[in-house]
Amino acid sequence: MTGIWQDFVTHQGQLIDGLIVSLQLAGLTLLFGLPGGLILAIAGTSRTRLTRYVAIALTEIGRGTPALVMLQLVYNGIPVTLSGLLSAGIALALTTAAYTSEIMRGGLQAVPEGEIEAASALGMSRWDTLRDVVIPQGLRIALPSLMSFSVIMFQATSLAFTIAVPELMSQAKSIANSNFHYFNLFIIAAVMYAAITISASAFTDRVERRLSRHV
Amino acid sequence: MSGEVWSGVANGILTTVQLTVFGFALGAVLGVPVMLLRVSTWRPARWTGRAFIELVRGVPLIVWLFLIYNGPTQFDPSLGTVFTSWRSGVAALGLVSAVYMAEIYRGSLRAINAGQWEASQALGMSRFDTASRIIAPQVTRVAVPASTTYALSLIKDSSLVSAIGVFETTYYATTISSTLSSATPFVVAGVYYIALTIPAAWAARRLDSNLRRKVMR
Repeated sequence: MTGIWQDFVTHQGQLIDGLIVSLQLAGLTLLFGLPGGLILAIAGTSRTRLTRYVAIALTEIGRGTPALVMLQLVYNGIPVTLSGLLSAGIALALTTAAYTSEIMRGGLQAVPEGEIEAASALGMSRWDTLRDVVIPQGLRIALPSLMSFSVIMFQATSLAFTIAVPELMSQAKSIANSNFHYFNLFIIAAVMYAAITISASAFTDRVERRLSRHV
Repeated sequence: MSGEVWSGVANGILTTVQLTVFGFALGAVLGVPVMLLRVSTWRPARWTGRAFIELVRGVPLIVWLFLIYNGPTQFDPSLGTVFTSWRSGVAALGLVSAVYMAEIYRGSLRAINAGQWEASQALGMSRFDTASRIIAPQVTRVAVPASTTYALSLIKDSSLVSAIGVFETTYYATTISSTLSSATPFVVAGVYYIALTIPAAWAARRLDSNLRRKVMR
């Protein structure tokens, strides 16, 4: 145990920098991914068949392809040279968009039909109804699931070490490769990840309970 | 998109399937004791189960992979021959699957009507007999749809095992991609993964509807 603590104290600067990069990457992923998911969710319920099919195809491809493969594809496949962090952010955002579009679609469909009828009775256009009535309520319903998915995506940022993004996992691995304390360093990384994810899940549970109180 | 890329990446498909099957089987078995701990009426056991589930789920799979694969070599380098990349890969997939399966079992257990326990007790069955002969078969059936969904996602999660050098689909895609310096092998890998999930999803739906029909009769 003392060895693990010793390793943490010695390398804490590097490890905490790694954790910050992980959090930044998660932020970037959600920044691009969540609006993407909303667009896919709305397009998936479109009246135009073509739009609907394109949205469903994109969702299925995004959900069927492993995040790791998506990551390598964006990193190696885009002819413009992007930084590792940006490619990782884009790749994980694509996965996020595909998965969250399903969550959001569920939320949007859970908005009672009567709300939409009431809006049209008031003479609101389809777009206004969507923007002011359906989306705010639908996202509220979907919020707990979106939050727990965000926690999963935070964990998925650990995949970015394969394209040399200096996040927590890659820092732990590079330290371990120099001092051979593999067990200690990976335990430290595990504890740091768990500290973030477990507290985020606890927060998600609280939000879920709060939101369901008024239902 | 030359044929060599398609056949080269295809070399890993069998290993991807094996990893998924072994990892899922391990998880489905180990999930039972984890679930029993989690639903125990004895508080310390319940908390242990809960802490174990939270901890295993809270840490990314890739960290478990490296912890199991590289961790033991810190104490004795010769342990590397025990924790080979294949064994570590299956162990990590099994560990993570065990806690997810435990939660699926727990959810299914809650779906079973309490009247089933009471009725069995009224017939004079022991608690163990009730659990194994009355409750377990029903839990298994209720757990099928969620378990198969999980197994499908495990196909994709098994791609992470390439990071510790197991020769599966993503591993071949990575090596071929770096020799050709092109991203095509990853497109091919993506197609293979989607192609794997489609028949698997079909089989899962059939299994579920077959079970449903059996119960209806």
